[in-house]
Amino acid sequence: MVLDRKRTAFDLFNVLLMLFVLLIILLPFWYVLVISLSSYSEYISNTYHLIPRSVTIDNYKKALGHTAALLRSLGISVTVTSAGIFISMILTTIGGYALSKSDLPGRNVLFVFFIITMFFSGGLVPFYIVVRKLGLANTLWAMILPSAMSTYNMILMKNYFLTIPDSLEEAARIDGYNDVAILFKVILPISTPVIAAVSLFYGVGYWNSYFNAYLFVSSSKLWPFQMYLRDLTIANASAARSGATSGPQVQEAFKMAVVYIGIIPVVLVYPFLQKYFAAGVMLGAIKE
Amino acid sequence: MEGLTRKKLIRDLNRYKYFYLMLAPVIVWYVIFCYAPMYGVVTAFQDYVMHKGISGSAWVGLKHFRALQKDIFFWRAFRNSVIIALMRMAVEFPVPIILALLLNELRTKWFKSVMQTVMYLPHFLSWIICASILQTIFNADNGLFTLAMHQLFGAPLQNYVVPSTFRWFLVFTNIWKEAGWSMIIFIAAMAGIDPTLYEAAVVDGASRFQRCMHVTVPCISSTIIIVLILNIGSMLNTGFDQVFNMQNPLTLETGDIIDTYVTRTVMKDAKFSYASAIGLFNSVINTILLLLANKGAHLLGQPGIY
Repeated sequence: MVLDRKRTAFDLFNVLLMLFVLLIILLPFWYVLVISLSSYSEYISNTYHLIPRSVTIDNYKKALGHTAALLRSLGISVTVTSAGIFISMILTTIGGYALSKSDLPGRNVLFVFFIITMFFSGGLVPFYIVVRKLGLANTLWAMILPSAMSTYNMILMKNYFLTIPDSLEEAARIDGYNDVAILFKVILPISTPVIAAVSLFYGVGYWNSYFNAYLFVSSSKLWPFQMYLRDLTIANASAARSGATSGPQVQEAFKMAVVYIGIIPVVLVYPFLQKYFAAGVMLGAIKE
Repeated sequence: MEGLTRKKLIRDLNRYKYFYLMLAPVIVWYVIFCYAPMYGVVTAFQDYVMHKGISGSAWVGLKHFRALQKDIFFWRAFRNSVIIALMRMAVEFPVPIILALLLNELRTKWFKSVMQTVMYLPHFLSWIICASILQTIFNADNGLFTLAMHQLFGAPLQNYVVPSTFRWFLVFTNIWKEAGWSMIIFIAAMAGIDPTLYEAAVVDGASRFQRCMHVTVPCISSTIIIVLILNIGSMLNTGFDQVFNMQNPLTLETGDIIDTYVTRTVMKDAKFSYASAIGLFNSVINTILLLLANKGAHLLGQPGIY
């Protein structure tokens, strides 16, 4: 607001408060980064881990060079994430495009059919039974298919397609294209922003997901990265508390290096993701 | 008449066949992964055995619901869910609104965008990553939080993630991770406010605080109400990923919620039908809450969600 230029005490207070918020959010990430860059002796001698006295990437080298289980889980996460984005995008695009045709008979009924699932679900057990009965347990598909569609993302794409002028499609129809060809040859090339945004949303979702693996994948050989990390930090601490640890304790610095290996891919795509936030929220308004 | 409708139907089908073709796989997905599980709710009235399936399992009526009534662990989880949900509603819900209002008052554009970038980021990291980080910070021996409390306030080195504080721990760590992202919808609503409203307010001599309270807040109030309704409608099942990854056997007393209890009932005890009954009970309560919240919105003169 450029209404009054006078800087007041409130402005100063507000900036300080925001800097405090910034500190609260970032401090944990900084702290863990410093730990992950510590050697064992540095970890023992440096109490607060706020200012690094010596920096080593040994933990990262160990994690990415000599930890087969971690590398395997990363490979699985990459596979699941890329295959997942592909399948999700196909389903979401064709669904969203068909729904963007407001004169399509039955469209409103279908719309309700999709929306209902945002508010009602069968619960965990029936879902668990369905996925098991489909024979997806202990396959990579269990981490992809059950979460392949998001109604929210489909509505987001539908709303984007609605903004494309009909004249474009009509011109293509006169040129003899059918509706499928129009979608792929005319509509998709001019829809890159929404495709990028939705792909990234799905991608982050697949990368972060663990629960389907927890439910359906019993062999740690098929675990994605998040399950590997969960086992390393959360389950491990839980076991330690009840006195049921087996084998040597994993070093804290190594654990935090693994945490950062999980953070880095998200941070790398984050700038691209952020470009589309505001647009996504506006487009995604559920109400028509 | 009938011939006419049939003709119209055939014409429509022909004209729109590609769209129906495109919708087919999507509909199949929804039927399999959303609607088949809704039908699977009937397992709550059976003694479901995996290899016998729904058609082969015995019907037992309300047996599991009667067992539910007497299950102290279920009621403990139910009570925890309600208390945690109310705490979230009272403490967590206003935070993003206040943050968005304060952010809106920032005068330096680049600082505002830096703030937004940083505040949205934690939302995109999984709860497993965040729980791992928090575990290190709250480590009873040498965690940063523990040491800070020791140095600044002379508190003993202790475990802060204990039953008596666990719910607050959930509330504040969720604010840390999600408040920034929850802000985005209010920021978007504020961006849509007509600038002439502010100009008119200035002409009328409104101070900055008055402009905020009498222009900004009323303009985003319908957004606030919609978010509130959605929150109330899902209040008993939010935060599963957080609670599931932060609780441990010691904090179950105050930190076991319905969803984590259901998960254990399935994965540890394999009591499918019983877990299904809990799920159904939970869904019914959620539906009632959603309807009530929507009704409330109508009474307040807001559009609600339908």
